[in-house]
Amino acid sequence: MGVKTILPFGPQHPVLPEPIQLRITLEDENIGQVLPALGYVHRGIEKAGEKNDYPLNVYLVERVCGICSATHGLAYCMAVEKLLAVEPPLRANYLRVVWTELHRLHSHLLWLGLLADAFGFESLFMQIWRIREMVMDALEKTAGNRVIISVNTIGGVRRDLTEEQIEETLRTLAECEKQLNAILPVILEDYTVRKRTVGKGVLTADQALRLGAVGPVLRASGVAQDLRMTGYAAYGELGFEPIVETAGDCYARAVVRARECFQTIDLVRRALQNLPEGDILTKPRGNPNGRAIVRVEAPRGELLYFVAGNGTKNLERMRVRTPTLANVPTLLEMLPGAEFADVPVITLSIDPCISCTER
Amino acid sequence: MKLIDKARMKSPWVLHYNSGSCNGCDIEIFSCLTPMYDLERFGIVNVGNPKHADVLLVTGPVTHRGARVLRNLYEQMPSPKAVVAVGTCACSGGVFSECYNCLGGVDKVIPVDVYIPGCAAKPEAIIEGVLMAVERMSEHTPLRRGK
Amino acid sequence: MGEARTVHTELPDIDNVQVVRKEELLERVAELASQGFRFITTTCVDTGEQFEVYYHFDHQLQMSHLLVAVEKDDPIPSITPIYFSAFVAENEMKDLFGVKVDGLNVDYQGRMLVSDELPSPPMRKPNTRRDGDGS
Ligand code: SF4
Repeated sequence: MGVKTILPFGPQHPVLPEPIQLRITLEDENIGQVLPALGYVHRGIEKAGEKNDYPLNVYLVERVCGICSATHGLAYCMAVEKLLAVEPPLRANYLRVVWTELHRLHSHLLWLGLLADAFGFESLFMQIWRIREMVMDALEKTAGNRVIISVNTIGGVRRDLTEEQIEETLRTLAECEKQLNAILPVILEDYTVRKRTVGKGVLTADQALRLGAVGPVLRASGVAQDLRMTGYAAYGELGFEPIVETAGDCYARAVVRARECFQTIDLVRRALQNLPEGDILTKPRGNPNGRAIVRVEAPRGELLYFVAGNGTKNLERMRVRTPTLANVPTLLEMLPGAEFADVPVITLSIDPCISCTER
Repeated sequence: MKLIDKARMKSPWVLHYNSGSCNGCDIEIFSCLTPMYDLERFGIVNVGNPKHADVLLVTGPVTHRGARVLRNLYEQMPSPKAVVAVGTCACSGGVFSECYNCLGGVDKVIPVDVYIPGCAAKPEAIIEGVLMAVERMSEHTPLRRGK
Repeated sequence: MGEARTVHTELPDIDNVQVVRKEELLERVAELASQGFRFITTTCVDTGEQFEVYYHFDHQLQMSHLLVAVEKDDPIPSITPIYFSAFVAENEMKDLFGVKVDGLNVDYQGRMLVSDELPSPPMRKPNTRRDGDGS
């Protein structure tokens, strides 16, 4: 029997870009029990959402999480549109797909880079982030800001794309795809990467469903669930097939995200090429009344918005269930039994976004 | 002594802490470290240990729990040190200033030398801010005072 | 012991909601679990008079919801024996609203997200119920 040690991992830790603390009980090098300590970035956005007018909330929810801000804005707008019975124009729906997918692309690249960084593969980290800058540039050129792009509004989008912008974005994407084609196989076939990820943090399909895992974590365990299959915004018209891997380990999660990068590029390309003509905004009227639930697929998985209105301009309740919140329990099952050196990789493999989790 | 001061001005090491931000500014800080912006050409290196750091980059409106950690980190950094508040919410609380769990602004907890507005703050601005912080730090050191 | 009222709003635009009494909650949840539903989360709505707690489930991208209405001081049973992962959502309700949850497997004592500096559950509204107990 080894000696039991309790080790706090975080909240400020070199491999964790964000403050979460894992209280890890160690037995020699092996992990016994894990308990997450949260609350370092809890701000109280759900409450703030009740104080603001409902159109203002769009700007608030975009700041729940900077990395997937476009998705948050989209989900909130869709929920309020449901209550107001507003149908955004077709062009707006296509544009929403474009920006949401560009955000997904930059988020996945960010994660692949951080993964490389987590096991000390710094040159790879730099390479991936260099490619990511192209996506950031595309975002800045089309939406005017790099991270928080604030394109969604209730009833449609706030910006339109000109022909030149479409051309330019398509060119950037082609270049991006070319470079990714060159580099992603290197990551996935690399000896070091495989050594550190294959067979680590395995989650079977059953476990994943039981623990309520979402997004790439769920799909890497062989469950074909992606909310884009429900065809919200323009996904129905564009057609969508989820990407599924079956191994359920950290490597499979990396593969899912890597393959999704290409899928995303393809989706953006098709959305831009088939962009319908027309308006980009249906003016909303009245105040929301009733309750609505909307789910969309954020880069990290299922994002749920529950909005309750009472006929005034303030909402009665705004509930945000973010993907990482659903994925944290999987950590409690994946970490015990693993070696301490694998904690960063396994933790990263769910792509934790703590700002989202705690709101 | 002089040599150390000189080295510090030429190669300030930064420590980054997220005290409740939305991650937007954090990823922009990360972007600064990558080839496109490359903070390292100024000798700036990102470290994880407060005892090695000269400049503290803080993002976010400082939550109650974050404040404790932030104070700890600040106290553990050796002098001379500088603090840079990155992003609107680190400067004043921004959209979160009304939230019940936020103190609103880094300067409510620790002294701030440079404020970088922007939501999210642009990498160019962050680089500029860090360099300004270094300059300010050098004004307080024997290196300048000796002149 | 006032009977908790059922849903007060006439426009619950959500499909597939089943209103259940809290005594039968665990039974219904177990039923859903055996049918292979994935637990999504809970949502607590403070109507002023009572808490309305939604339990959201998903099966092949179809949602199904249970709705329990409870008096503000009445405890509800924890569903963590059935869905382990529910501890996050239930602790969160406890933090933000002060919902009493019986039998939590991991209990943060109402301090998972909210720090000690805040005295009361921040999202709980004052009790507006006029009839019955005045407390
Ligand atoms: S300033 Fe804006 S982008 Fe930066 S952390 Fe705050 S909300 Fe996020």
